[in-house]
Amino acid sequence: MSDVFVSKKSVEKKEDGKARVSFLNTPRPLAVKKTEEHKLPNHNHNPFTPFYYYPDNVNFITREPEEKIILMLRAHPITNLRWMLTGLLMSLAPIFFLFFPFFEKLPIGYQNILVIIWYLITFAFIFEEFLMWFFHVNIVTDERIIEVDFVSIFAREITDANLDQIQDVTSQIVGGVWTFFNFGNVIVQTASEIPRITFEKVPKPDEVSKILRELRVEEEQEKIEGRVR
Amino acid sequence: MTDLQFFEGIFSSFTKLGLLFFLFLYIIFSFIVLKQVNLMTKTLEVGFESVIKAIALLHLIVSVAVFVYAFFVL
Repeated sequence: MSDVFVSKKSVEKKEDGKARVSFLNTPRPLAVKKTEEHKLPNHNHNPFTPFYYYPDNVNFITREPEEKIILMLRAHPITNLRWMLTGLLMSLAPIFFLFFPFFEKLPIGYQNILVIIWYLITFAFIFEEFLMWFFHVNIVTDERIIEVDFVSIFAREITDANLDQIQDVTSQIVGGVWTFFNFGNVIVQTASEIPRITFEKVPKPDEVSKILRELRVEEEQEKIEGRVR
Repeated sequence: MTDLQFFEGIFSSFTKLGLLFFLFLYIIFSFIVLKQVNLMTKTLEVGFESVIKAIALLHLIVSVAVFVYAFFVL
């Protein structure tokens, strides 16, 4: 890689051994050495993390052998609040069954089965919502951006676009809650068949935009130098 | 048997059949969820697959157990 695109700041180390960070929170992508990955600010090993910089254990079905994952994103955890509250209310609902005279008159066996069925439905609701959140991810590699989305329990969608096909990146933070928790949409306009890929409600949209911009610049430089895979 | 007892018996049988049918559908749903989880974990690996697969399998086992329980209790 040309020295022009390797930020001295991002390669140098601080006295405490942590990799130096740029004006946002992340060092320049691809300027990070393998040994420095574990010291990055947004690098951790929590499988639920919504902003995973240089993830270790992540893999996806269409990954090429030499492809390096720079970033994995999913919606900010606060976006789960609605279904979590609904799930909580649903799990408390059987307490109120006793206030229905009809329920009291049923034989005890029927009462038990109805309550069990209610909890089965509640569990199914919570589990499905969790799966939809957990497996709806956006991945940025050194070659492309990928969106993995499970639209429903029967439908899966994987969309990707090469970095050199990215035309425009917009980060969007709308409203007080989004601003307070620092999450938003990152809208990527592409020249591929799918003209737009949206990273929905991801944390730190400005940092994501910055990473994408730097990756695009580096990809352009690779093209100029004839180092394209 | 009075007419009221007769209708109560019919209502009870229909309710039992309805609940068992619902639980049968739920077993199918649990099986689909298990298949879906397997598909998801094949598509994306993040190091938490075994726990999610175990939960989906447990869900299927519980739904079968509830069906069997309902069959004998109702």
